[in-house]
Amino acid sequence: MKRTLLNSWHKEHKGRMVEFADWEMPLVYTSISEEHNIVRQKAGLFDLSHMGRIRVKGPDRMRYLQRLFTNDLSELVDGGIHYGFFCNPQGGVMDDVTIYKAEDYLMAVVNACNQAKILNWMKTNSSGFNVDIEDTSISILMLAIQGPLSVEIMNELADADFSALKKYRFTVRQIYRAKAVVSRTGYTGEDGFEIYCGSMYLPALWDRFLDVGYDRGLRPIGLGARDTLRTEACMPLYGNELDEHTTPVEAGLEKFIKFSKPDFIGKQALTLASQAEFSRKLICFEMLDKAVPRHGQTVTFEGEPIGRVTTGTFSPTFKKGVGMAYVDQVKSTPDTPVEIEIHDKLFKAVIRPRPLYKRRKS
Amino acid sequence: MTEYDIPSDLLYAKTHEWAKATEKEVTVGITSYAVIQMDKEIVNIELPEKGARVKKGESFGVVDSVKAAFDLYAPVTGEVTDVNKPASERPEIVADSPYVQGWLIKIKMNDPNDLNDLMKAADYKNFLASHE
Repeated sequence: MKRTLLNSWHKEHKGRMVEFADWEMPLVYTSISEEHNIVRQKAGLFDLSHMGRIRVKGPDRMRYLQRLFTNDLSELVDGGIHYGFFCNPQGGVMDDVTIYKAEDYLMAVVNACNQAKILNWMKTNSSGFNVDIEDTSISILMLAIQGPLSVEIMNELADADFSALKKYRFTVRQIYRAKAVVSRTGYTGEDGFEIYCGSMYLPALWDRFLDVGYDRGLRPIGLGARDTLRTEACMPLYGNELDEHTTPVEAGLEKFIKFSKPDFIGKQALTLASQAEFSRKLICFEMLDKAVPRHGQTVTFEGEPIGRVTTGTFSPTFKKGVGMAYVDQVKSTPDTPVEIEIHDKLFKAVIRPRPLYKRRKS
Repeated sequence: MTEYDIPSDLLYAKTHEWAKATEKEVTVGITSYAVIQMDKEIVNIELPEKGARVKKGESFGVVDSVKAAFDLYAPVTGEVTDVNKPASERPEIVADSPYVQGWLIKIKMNDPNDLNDLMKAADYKNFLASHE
C-alpha cells in the first residue's frame, strides 16, 4: 500500500486509516458528520497526495489533449482550468479529469484509482504527437482547503489577496516556503482552493495551514467527509457514478462535452448517446422515510425496478438519507416519487433537482 | 491496542451484540466496540416490531453509520417482547450509552441453552484483542 508524506501525521492525529485506490488514507479523525460540518461552516484541510498529476509539454500538447479530452481546451487562457472526460471510442468514461493550462505546459489531474491506467492511455494515444508526458504524481503533491473561511486563511498564510482569483482559474504564488500552483477548485460544493507544490514542501505547508487556520476552526478532513460533501453537491465519483460503460451524457454532464470542437476520442459515440431517446439518467434523491440508502440498492417506481443507487449515505447537512442513482430516463424528472429497496423493504424517496446542496453566494 | 468498555456481567456475540439474561428474558444491545467501529456516530436504527419472531444468528435489524450499514444478529431465538423506541428515534442514545439507555430489544427466549454459545466478558476481550 502506498503512503503519502503525511501518513505519520494522520496516524499521530488519530486518523482512522483505510485503503483507498491502493493508498493508505485517513477515513476520519473525529467523526464524519463533525468534519463535514466544519467544511460547510468553517474550513477543512485535505491531503490529496494520492491523486494523479500528469504534466504534458511539447509543441503538440494542445492538439494532443484536445484529441483525448471532451471539453474544449482552446477556450482556455493561461491560468484557466477545464473539467471534462477522457472517453474510450464507445463514449465510456476512462476518467474524469481537470486540465490546467499554463504558458508552457498542460497538467491533467486524474483520480487515484485511474492514475496508472490513464498514464498508459495517454502514452498509447500519443503517437504522431510531439509531446512529453511526465507523471509528476510523486514530485508534485497536492492539498486542498475547502469551506467559507478558505479565502481569509489563504490570504493570511500567503500574505496575498486570493479573493479575486476566479472559480476554475489558477495562479502561481509563493505560499510559505514553496512556489505553488493555487487553483480555485474543489470537490465539496464549497468555496476553496487546491494547492500544488514540490513534495519536499508539503509537510511544512500542511503544518503551516493548521498553525494559521486552527483558531479560526480549520481542521484536517478525512475521505469519509470528502465523500458525504461531494454527494450532497452531487459531484460524481469515478467507480460509482462514472465508469468505462457509462457516458458523461447519461451522467448528466453533457456541458463538459464540446461537440463543436474537432474530432476527439469518443465523439461519434457521444453524439449518438446525446440523441438517444431511451436511456438511463443520473439523478439525485432524498429519502422521505427514515432509512439510509447504500450503493447498489434497487430504485423502484410504484414497486417496479427502474434503476440502481450509485452512491447512498446519510447527509449530515440535511440529516436524512440521500443519494444518486441511474434510473430510466422517462422516470428521471425531479419530484418523481420513487422507492429504494433497503434490506428487502421499500422505503419512500423522491427525486430532487441537482445539486442537493448549493452554497449561498457570499 | 484500544481498551474497550466491556461490562463483566454481560454475554457477548462475535457479531458484537451483548445480551443480559434474566430467567426468561434477554435484553440485547451492541457493544462499545461496535460503536467505535461506526466512528461513534449512529445515524439510523431499524428494529423489529414487538411480537416479531427472531432467530439466533439471524439478522433482526440494522444500524447505520454515516458511511455504512451494519446488520444486527439475534443472540437467541424467541419473541420480541419490548423495543427501545426512544433509541430508534434518537440513535445517538445508543452511541452515547450502548449498555444502559441504548439497549435495543428484549427477547423472550425459547431455549436458555442458546446463551451457552455466547462469550463471557473476558473471552470477548480476548476475541477483540485477536482481531486488532
